[in-house]
Amino acid sequence: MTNAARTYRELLGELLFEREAAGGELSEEQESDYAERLDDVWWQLSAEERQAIEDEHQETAAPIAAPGDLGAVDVEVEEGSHAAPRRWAA
Amino acid sequence: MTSDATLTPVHAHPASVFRAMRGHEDGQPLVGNGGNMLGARPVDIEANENGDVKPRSGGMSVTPNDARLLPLHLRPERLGGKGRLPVFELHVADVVDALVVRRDPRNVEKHAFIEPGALMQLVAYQAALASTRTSWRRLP
Repeated sequence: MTNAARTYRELLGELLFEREAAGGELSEEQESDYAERLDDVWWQLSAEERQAIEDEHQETAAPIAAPGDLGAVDVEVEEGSHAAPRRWAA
Repeated sequence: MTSDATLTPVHAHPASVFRAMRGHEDGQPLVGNGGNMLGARPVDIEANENGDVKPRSGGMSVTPNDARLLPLHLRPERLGGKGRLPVFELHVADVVDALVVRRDPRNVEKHAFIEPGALMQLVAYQAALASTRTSWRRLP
């Protein structure tokens, strides 16, 4: 991995972290500052590196292949019981 | 001379271009020579000692034809990207005569420039870019 590719990944990670730390949103000025820095690095990357970063992102953004409804229901349990708090629905 | 009819779609002149820019409170792009504004930064195009800029020497960056081709950090989240800046579209037919849209030969599919159409002063080029301001449409 080249320095530019590493820098891009680090900067993108930093942007996502800063958004979360700010409660989900940065100001447009802050977004613009990150976008400009990312853009400068982006155009230093090779086409293959850009595609690899896009592919990584698509993999992490893909929904997990699991059913939304697991078919289990919560059940009451006694304190200290070893019974599972869920059972499969009939 | 090659006509568009003989070019593959990726090489043909784009019908519209897209750019992520800071927005003005009136809903149109913010004009200036800073990053993510409607204008060219000093690093985007080089003026000679007379203050002139020339055609085919770079200029303000845009993405041709499809906002989904914007780089990851500029592409809106609803299009699978990480960008949060407003994205604007400009129909190439609305580009003023002083300017030309040219695909980047190093990345013909995903990158293009809006360049000076002839030798002109840098300030005239910036003014021509600014004059397109009301033609840009902000994507929902």
